[in-house]
Amino acid sequence: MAGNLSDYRNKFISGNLAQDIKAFKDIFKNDATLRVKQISARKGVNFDAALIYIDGMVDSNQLNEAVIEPLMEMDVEKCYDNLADYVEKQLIFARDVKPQNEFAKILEGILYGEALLLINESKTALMLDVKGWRTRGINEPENERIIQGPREGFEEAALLNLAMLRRKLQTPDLCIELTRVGRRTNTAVFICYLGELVNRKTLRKIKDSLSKINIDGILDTNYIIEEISPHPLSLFKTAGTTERPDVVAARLLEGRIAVIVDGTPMVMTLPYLFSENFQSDEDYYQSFWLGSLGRIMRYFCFSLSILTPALFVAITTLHPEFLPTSFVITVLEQRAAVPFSIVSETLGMVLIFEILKETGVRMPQNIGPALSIVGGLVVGQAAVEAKIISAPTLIIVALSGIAGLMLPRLRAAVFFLRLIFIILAAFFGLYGLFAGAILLLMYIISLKSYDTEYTLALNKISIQSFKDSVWRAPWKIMLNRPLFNKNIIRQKRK
Amino acid sequence: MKKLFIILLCPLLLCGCNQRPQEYLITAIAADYNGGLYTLYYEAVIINTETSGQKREILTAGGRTLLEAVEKIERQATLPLLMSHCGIVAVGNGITRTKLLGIMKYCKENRDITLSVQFLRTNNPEKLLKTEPISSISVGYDLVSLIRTQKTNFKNRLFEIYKNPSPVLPKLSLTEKGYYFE
Repeated sequence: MAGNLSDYRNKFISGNLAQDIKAFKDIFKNDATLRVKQISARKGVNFDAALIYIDGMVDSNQLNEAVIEPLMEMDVEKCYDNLADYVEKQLIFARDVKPQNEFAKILEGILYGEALLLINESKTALMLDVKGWRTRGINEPENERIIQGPREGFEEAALLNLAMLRRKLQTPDLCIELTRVGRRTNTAVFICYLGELVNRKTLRKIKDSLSKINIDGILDTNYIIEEISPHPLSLFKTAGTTERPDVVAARLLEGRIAVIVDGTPMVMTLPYLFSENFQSDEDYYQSFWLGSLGRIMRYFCFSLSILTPALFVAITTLHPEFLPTSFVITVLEQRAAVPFSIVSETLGMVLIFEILKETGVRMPQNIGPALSIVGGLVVGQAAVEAKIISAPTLIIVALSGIAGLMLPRLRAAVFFLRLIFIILAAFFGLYGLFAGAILLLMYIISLKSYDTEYTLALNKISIQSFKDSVWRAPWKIMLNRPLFNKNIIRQKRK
Repeated sequence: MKKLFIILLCPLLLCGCNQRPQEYLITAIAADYNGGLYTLYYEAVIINTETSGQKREILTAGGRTLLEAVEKIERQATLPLLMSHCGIVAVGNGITRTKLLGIMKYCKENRDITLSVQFLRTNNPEKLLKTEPISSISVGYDLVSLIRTQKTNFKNRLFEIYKNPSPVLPKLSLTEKGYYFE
């Protein structure tokens, strides 16, 4: 297409069919998928029209049966006075028919899978909703697998995602607003919220931020997250993402806002609290005992993952007195022939673990397990036997790496914090480690997710504030929604 | 940006320099006093880098004062001494109460020797340290384990001794079958 949509504002349909068809052909002169089908009524003499659409984005069967056939069978004499109105209201069976005359809006529709019907001598064209592109289908999200609970996941078509969400929230209070972002992609972005629960101030701020985005294209939710985040360089996510409709529905019920981007199954939810990094959908679908255990384990694994290698480096390098004599001797024996320092060895192992993890994720499914075995067992064991690395370091790094896998939402933070803490421990020992931990806590507390404090759930020490952050309380106790909500009462008890 | 990159890279490159050298891991100290001379014995464990195995060495030095003996032993040691794992100070019969308090004061002032060090008396400290250890580690390590199993019988840890100005140390006897507390 030549130019951007904004170039076609204030340009209107002329009413001359040949001229309008030429105008559209000129606009799409470099697009081989544009189809223009001219139609004349069989029974009449003065009806000429043209259908313009993009091949592959419309449902051909529906187009034939609901549009082309009725048009060709039309008896023109009966409706000569207002032909466009008659075609719109009585003739066409498409899901939705909208009169439109501005080029920018028409082009937006065509690019989103609608068909344009131009009628000769009519200055109003009709936009026909005959979208019919192929989609991947509803599958369980690979990254958010659960044992118990709903299995469906979002897919790339935003309209289908909205339908899935609507099926969960059958209330007229569910508000869905459409905006378009991206100068060239003109991506459809839907802002969803429950009108009675949402914090209007946050909503306004998010809408403002979205309208200020001035980027070529939006291909995934993360483009938007990074564009509108108040802390774009933060290691911690300040916006939630999920592929699960049940999670989005649950978050909307807590007064959050969801942003659905067309073309990606990832849905953004705002505001996002620190404690959400430790929550799993499954916590709510099984006994609260198991849910709470899982959550506490995740907090523990976060500390374990970022601190264990650093603690190992600090103690073995600068504070060997903290270890029992027999363990010191074992570590020294194991390390005796290793040519690298403990710090270089640990840093190297952390990087190698990350490489193995990345390759395991990117590999085709049938190669992945084989690679894990080769990487984990063969290379690991061979490296220890060849005295390139020592067994204690391998164990510590593996433990830290496995603990880190419990927290998929904190992948980046865990990896970089692990490195930072190792370096601090190497230079300053336990003093550096604890100073780093205190600075990290201060940093987390200072973060905000769109007006909402990142650690809001942990600010107040009470059962109600801890009920869904540190542990997963039974539903009977979860009386209130999160504190950022304007309508805090979730359920009333007599 | 380049400066920031270099600042970030420096710690990564330099942290590898912070390597612990090979050192003597001191697990026990024995002291005796005869003919106006303090004699010190350090039981040291050293890890052999070639075989990755450990070996035990007894470092000895004498001096007219305790500090002189300590300095001599430190001077003649070919590797740095790691004192933080010394769990036992065995004193011979030549160490009187005053001299014992001097040794304790030294241990207290030396930050590397932990406050959980155990004191005991034996007839022949040199022979005690030179005995073949029961475990694969050292005599000092064995003695710490032995005291741990019998700790309800003793109240002679260093901090307790300082509360009590006239300590009575547990006496360790050495026989052909091993050592035991009297």
